[in-house]
Amino acid sequence: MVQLLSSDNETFTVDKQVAERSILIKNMLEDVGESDAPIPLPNVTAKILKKVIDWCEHHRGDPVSQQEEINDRKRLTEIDEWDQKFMEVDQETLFEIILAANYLDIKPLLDIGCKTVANMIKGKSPEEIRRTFNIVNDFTPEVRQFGIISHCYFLAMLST
Amino acid sequence: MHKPKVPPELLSLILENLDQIDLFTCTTVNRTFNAAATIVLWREPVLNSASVFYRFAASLARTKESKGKLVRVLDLHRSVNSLVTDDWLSDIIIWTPLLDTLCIPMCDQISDKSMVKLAKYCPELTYLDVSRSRITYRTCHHLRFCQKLRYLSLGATRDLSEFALLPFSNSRIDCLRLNDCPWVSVAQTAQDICSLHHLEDLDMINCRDVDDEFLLKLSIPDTDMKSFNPLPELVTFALSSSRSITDEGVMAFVRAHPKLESLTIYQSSITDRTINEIRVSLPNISFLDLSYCDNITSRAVRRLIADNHKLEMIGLKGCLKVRSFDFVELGNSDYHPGIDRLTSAEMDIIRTSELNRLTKAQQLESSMHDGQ
Repeated sequence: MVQLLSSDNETFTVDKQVAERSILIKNMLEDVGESDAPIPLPNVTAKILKKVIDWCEHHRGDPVSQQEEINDRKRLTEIDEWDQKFMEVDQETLFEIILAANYLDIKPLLDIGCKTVANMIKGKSPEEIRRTFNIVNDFTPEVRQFGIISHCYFLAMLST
Repeated sequence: MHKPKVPPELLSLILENLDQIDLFTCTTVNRTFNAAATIVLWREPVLNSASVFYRFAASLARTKESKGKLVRVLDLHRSVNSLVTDDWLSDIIIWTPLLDTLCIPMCDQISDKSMVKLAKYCPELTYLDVSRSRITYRTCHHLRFCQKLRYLSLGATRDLSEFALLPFSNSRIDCLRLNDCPWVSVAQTAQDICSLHHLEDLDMINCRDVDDEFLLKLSIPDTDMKSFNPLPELVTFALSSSRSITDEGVMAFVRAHPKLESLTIYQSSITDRTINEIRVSLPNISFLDLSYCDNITSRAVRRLIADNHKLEMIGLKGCLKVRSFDFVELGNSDYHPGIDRLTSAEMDIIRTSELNRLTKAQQLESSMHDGQ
């Protein structure tokens, strides 16, 4: 068993196998060796850490070495059903999970998080994207025009 | 709304899941999205029509390195092949210093003119496919400056000389495609291939002059050199030739390259002796294609399948002595006597029946023993 300490000082006890889905923790355990001291994770809150541990528990049996395949040309935006349910959270939590997955180096979880956000962008207009993520258009008119010109090789495709 | 700040590299990672149209939309959302989407858009532009193709070059000419630096992969779509000329390509690659992959197969208008520039302006290149191009030795001479090159396809190049691989001696190339290259010679090219110590994948389909002697050269340590086998890392090999390829060459080759997982030998005179050598020497073999090798028999193939459990596919098209009625357990129809291939599932069935046969034989033997 391994003890994990969240940024807000909550301790979680998890199976070593589960904790080692995180490459960061795996490397830490290898460096430190056997120790009872909890591993501090200053970038992850208890709420998010709990979610991440849930995910790792569910995926504990997954083969670890599939990561190379991600280089494949065609990226699938399909997400399996359990993961889809898992990602049905408010936007803030979703981004926190992505950040935590990145920090803890859990590639498959990071992937699912990114795909979930990508699915929220797909097929939307710029204005709809701004509304979805509550962001403002901060372009000056000139920059905006220049931004479009610099990608003009795509315009041809868009018009067909 | 309070939102955790997503660093730009993570936003790019998210946007990688989108197609070009969505990415283009993202560039107009706001500055953060623009920056992240721009990186993804330019990394691997999809140039799938003539108009996009020309506009891409025009955009690059205008934005120069600011966008060119983002381009990593140029994989030219089949539909624009005929448009790819030396001039067009030269105008592109001078602005893409970090280009990693250039894939322009079947572009027969490409010659040294643009390729020499490529070597000069794109030192980060790791993957190059210039099959069917008109390059000569001059290009190879310059390409040795691309020291990160790992994958090189020279398939169906006509104008290269037998010394084409000399500049790559001791390079880190791990995959080399020389299919349909009439310039490959036994005397020179074999020696140069032997100096590619990192080679894992070698394709020599339809190299007309390749023969047993060539295979022996790739199998026996050069007496002048330190005494280790050439190509120690070789995993994948494919060969066909108009010369006679026999047991002598292939058996020596198989023995010298125990890491082989995929082996293709078309149209050779090999016999069951080679198959037995494969059975004994290649514990990792998973893909084997011996199509049109018409001296091999079902008996050897069955033994090979029974012993080598990693096998997933055997190609046997046009192997006249391997007939479907030699594999009755598969329930093939008698109307089609040949076997094109045996799949993983079929080989499992064969293994089971071989095992049964073996058990029965043992039982018979032991009962005879008891009877005595």
